[in-house]
Amino acid sequence: MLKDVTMEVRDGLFYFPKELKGPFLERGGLTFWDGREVSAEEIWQFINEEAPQLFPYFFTSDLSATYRLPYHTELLSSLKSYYLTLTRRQRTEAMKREGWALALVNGGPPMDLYYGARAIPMRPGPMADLIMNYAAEKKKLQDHAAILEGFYDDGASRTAADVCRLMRTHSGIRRRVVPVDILAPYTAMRCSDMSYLVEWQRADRPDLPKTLVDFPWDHDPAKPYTGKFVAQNLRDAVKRIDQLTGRQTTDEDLKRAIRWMNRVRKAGRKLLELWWSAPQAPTCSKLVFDWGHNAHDALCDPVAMAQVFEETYEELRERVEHGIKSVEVSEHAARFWVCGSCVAPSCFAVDARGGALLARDDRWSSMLMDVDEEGDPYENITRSLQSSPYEQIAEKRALWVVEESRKARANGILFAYHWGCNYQGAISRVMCDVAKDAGVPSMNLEQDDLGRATSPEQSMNRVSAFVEMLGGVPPQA
Amino acid sequence: MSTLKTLETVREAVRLRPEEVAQARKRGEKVVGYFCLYTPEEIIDALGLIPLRICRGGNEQWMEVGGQYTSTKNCAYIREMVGMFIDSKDKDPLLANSDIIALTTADLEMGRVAEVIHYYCKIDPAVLGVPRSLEDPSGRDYFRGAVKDFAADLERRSGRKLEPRRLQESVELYRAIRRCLLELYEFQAAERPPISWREVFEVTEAGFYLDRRRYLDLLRKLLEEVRVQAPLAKRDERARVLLCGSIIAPGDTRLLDIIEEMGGRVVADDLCTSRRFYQELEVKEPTLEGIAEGYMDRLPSAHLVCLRPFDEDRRFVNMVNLARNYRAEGMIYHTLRFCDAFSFKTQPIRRFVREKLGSFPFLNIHTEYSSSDVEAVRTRVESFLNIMTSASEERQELAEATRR
Repeated sequence: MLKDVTMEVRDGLFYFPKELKGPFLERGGLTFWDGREVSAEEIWQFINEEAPQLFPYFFTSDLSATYRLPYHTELLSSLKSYYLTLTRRQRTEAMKREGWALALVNGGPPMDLYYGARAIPMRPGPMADLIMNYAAEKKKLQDHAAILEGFYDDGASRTAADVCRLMRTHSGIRRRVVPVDILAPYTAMRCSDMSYLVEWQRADRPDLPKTLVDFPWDHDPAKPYTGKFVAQNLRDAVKRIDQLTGRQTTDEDLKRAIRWMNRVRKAGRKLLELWWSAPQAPTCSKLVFDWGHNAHDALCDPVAMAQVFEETYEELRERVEHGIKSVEVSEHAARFWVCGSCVAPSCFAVDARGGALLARDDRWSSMLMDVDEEGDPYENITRSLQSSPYEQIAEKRALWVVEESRKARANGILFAYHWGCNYQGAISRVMCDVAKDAGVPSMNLEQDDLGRATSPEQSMNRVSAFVEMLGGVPPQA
Repeated sequence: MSTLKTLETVREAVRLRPEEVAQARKRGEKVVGYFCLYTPEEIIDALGLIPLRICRGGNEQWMEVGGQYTSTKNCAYIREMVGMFIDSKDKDPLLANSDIIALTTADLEMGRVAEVIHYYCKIDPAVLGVPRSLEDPSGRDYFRGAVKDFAADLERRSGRKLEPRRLQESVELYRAIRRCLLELYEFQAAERPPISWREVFEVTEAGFYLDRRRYLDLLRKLLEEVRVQAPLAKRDERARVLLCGSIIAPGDTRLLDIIEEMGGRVVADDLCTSRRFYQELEVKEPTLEGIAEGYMDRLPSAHLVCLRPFDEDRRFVNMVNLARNYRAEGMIYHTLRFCDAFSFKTQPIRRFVREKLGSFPFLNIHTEYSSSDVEAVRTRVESFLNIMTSASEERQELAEATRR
């Protein structure tokens, strides 16, 4: 069992200490969707030699950075997660050479459909990361921030000054920085702007195939026409992807994807529930948040992701059984649940101020949306979509969050949304007021700090105040 | 004061309407307050309910209040709608007299309005689901189902049953109303207009409130009067403006006042509270399916999504056609803050219009219901109208030189 190991620092970058190598190699490598394997030795070499050169902004030892490695390595399996995260570019390029299509999608729905149709689903956040993988390769933290701002400014100047920051990043698609093959998001799932973004790309990328899976606001399963509509949209999206890949996706292709994604979702759920059950935080919040993200889109490979999660669970179980607490999280941490979409306060900053992040409602909702493995896969995915707790009306969603957050022993709920986010911003107060009425302290936070230098401190001041209000105390230095 | 007597009658009728509605409710009649032009009024009328289009704009206080219950980053109009409910649910005469609130999800943010007013105002609106595309076969099937559901919901809430004969009468009534409005619209764009665009806009708004049968009667009288006055009308040489974009709801007069004040004249528009409300809406069969078809086939709202090339996007093509058919000399594209459906399209529209019409003057006014940017808007519009006038004079000189 790994005891927390401090990262080595050389030339302003984090490196995994050599003492971890032996135990890491003993765990073996990874197997991928197409049967390919990568050894633990290859993973170690990439993470310690190649990756710090390619992504210095991610390996920065500047503790004020939000998008970085934790200062302590708590779980060896996390190296495999980082490997999958940092090889997204290489792996998507390799998959494209094998006939896969890189698709811009949105967060929320099961990604099973895309994997089944041999499309690599990239949500807006990971797409922004991928754009930066290309545009900011080998760049240091400050340069990374400047390049990202450049995308924001270009995106805003081409669309509208009011547009959400995440939408703006997709000027990287317009500028052909990333080799996206198709724009194929769902509409109206958590975001009202995705469909306008796709429409907008008609102007600058008329060459890029576009399709929308319409998931309507009224998707009541009691109305037969809603399910029929969504299922047809799923079929149409697969046809569109097939036109691109030159294949014909079969029901069996979709069922294989469903089986693996169910396995990923189940493993992710088990991880979070185990973490929540521990009397003290067994890892830092960064890992918890990453699990939520990774369980949703499987980092471009459900087979590898399932394996990583299952390994992580065993490691975490040992830590919890031995009562090991993360040194990065306070003994008196204020535990809170984040609601909203696309944004959350910096995990590291929250931990440092005496908080602990338990989950995000959009991610947890996605992790609950298992898909039936027998029968018509389109109808099964439709039923899963219609079951989404997150897509209920605000009051019901809030009550669901209260119930789930109680299971996680949350002290409070934080609703965070981006500046310019219409769809989530509109119900931010409803969600917080419902929580308060149910006796759960809540706070509403508008954030503008995806890369912008000035606003993270404003957001963190507010979060600090919330943590203090909940009784959180910063960890010992 | 207008020279058109019927217009004065319309104004008086609108002034008296809230009290009329209140009295009707006392007699047991029920009122449906609705917002969006995808709401099938024919169904409401056929059920013997009173339809009132209660959307409003321009109220800074409501917008501020609404921003506290949603977020300050929601569309100005959406914030205002929420603020209207929070602040004036029992005070505003139209809102207070609406027994049933009907919303559609053509604008997804209106779905959020439904959720917010459900929680804070304990209002359970009747919601008509609208898919993102009404051109795809699956979307059309969805909408047919949604319209049937909407009708069933109204039946349940009102305790009434939809009768085929009443539905036929309503369809014919609204068809007649739309035809009158389309004809009236043609007069306002003439070089010698017997009625101004602003007056037609006002008359269109009157139709949101008045008893529809009385309204049709007034429209017919107005048309008679306008036809008589047409040969006697004076030439209007002000700069001819095509006005497009986000909703300009009743009460939001600021931009319209500024255009007129600075010497411009609107001659065409694609606003959902004006021409688009009745343009290309033809219900061929007096059935629920026929109504659904008619509403689906109308010019789509910018809130819906079109992934076809711009030349095949009916909304884009419509703007260019309006500019040509009504001899507009420039376009003002009005967008409300955080109204993303329209804002995202600003640049593509500018490019498309210029590609089709050459160096056609185009101005985007991006604003909200606030007094703080009135002068900024005024300066922009004034400069723009000057540009339009200069450009127009240059074209005339060029044309004359060519003739010589």
